[in-house]
Amino acid sequence: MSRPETTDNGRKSPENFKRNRVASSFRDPSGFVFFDNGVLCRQVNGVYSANYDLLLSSGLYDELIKRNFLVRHREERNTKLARDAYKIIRPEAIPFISYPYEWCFSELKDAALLTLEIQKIAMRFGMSLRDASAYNIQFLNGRPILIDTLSFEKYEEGRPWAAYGQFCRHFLAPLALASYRDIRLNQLLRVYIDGIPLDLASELLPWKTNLRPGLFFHVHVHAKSQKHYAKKSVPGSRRKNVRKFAMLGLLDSLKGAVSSLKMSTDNTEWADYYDDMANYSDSAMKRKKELVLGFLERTKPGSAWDLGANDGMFSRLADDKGIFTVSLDIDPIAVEKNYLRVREVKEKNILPLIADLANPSPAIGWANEERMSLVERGPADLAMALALIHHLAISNNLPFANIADFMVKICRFLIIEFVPKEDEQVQKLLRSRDDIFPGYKKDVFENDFQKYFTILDSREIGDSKRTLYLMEKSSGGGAN
Amino acid sequence: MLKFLPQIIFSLAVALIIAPHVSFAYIDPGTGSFIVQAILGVIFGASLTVRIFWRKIIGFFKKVFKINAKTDEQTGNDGQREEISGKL
Repeated sequence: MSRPETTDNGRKSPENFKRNRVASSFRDPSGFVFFDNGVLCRQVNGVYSANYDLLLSSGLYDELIKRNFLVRHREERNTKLARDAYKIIRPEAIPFISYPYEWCFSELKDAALLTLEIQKIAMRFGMSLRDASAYNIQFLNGRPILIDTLSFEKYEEGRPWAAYGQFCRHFLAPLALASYRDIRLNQLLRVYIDGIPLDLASELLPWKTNLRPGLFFHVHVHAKSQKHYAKKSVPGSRRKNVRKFAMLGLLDSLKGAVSSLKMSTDNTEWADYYDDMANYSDSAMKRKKELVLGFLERTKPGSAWDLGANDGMFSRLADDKGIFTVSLDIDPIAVEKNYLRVREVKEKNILPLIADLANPSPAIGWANEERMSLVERGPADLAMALALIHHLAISNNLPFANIADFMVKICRFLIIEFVPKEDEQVQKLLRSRDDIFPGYKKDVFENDFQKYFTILDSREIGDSKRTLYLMEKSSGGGAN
Repeated sequence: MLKFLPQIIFSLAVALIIAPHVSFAYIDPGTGSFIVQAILGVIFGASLTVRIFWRKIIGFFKKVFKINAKTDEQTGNDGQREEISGKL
């Protein structure tokens, strides 16, 4: 299964620069990531040469590759090197970059456990992770993987793990908050780009977390310690006072703390959406799947975004055809269900993520450029907007023209389902509000969308009164 | 009162392990993490060591019981069956 190297997904690559440094790659003196004619490369600087060589010579690289824990890379032979450069390497490309605030509970948990496992393995080979940032992990073929090849340094017995605080902020704190307070608190990772501050996490967690040794020590005591020493300096603190067995004990304890965190099973409003779907008869559902498959066959997209994917039922149709699909939904529990299935069945083409289409991930970080907005990580070849339009148009008061304008930015082909006002689901949305939507009609919908798209096909979905459309971005249409 | 428990434990730990080396001066957010690591490392390293040691002890006792189980076999497997149903 090959990923086209020149796909635009996950990139910021203006055509007029031959080499373009990735906006988020500036903090690390060991090297940086850039694009060379659309291909992702990483420069290894001279200062890092010894660690890079050790990564390879110690056998750690091979071990991590064998377990699929680290992205592979190739060394570039015939490139002119800058004065401070040691080597240029070409890492395996990730088809879609995602961020920890978009991950569901288990995605973040798996990323955390991977980080700890990598650190443990690294120590066996005489190396250690320099940082434990959640942004060093991405998802590839349905599994978390480390993408920062330059994150390793030689392990010196006795030296404390510099990444410990970061691990607790990026992984343990958000997982604990999601587990013990509210699943929605993972969004704090969007606000705190270097992880949730431990004193905040400590305040927000319920008192009973003091009874769990893992959280008591790694969050509460840790937070107090940071606060206490914030105004002091302890010159001896970074010297050799953490023996290897102590480090292993620490890692083991962190692993236990993370593993024991479970997501609360309270169902949100969507979780049983497909189970009690009164609006679809079995035959209508079957028909809808056939139609979607037909449209996918016809367009043969290289990549797809499933908008409002819920637990990924229709993403799986695309996945079966080998189409890489980003499966977006606003409900963290639906995304969790989706991911658990991906993990269980070992699906390789689906990436479930949490996204609110009415408020998608913005660009954040230094100069608002470190982490890309959702739109910047597009467009996809094809987007699916099934059972979605009424949520955008009615619940979010978005006019059809605005919706179409957004759609045209993020895809070329669009499979979209029009849900008429008489539909039971729409009636539910209108129950507690005034019907201020005189324009919510099929002909208006078609009209407005045709300013941006060409309607290639439209089919009724059996007895459900809903219509499925296949559209293509028209050359004259849209802001693009 | 219990709210201060983490603080109390931390201060005790500091007093016992780190205090002799404390100095003063400037601001560093990372120091707290290093100190805590030193303290927790000792606690968890010790507990990990005990757990590994404990496994060895259990392993030793299992070997001893295995010898007993083997003699039960000769008299008709009763010992083994009890062991399995006990687990259920």
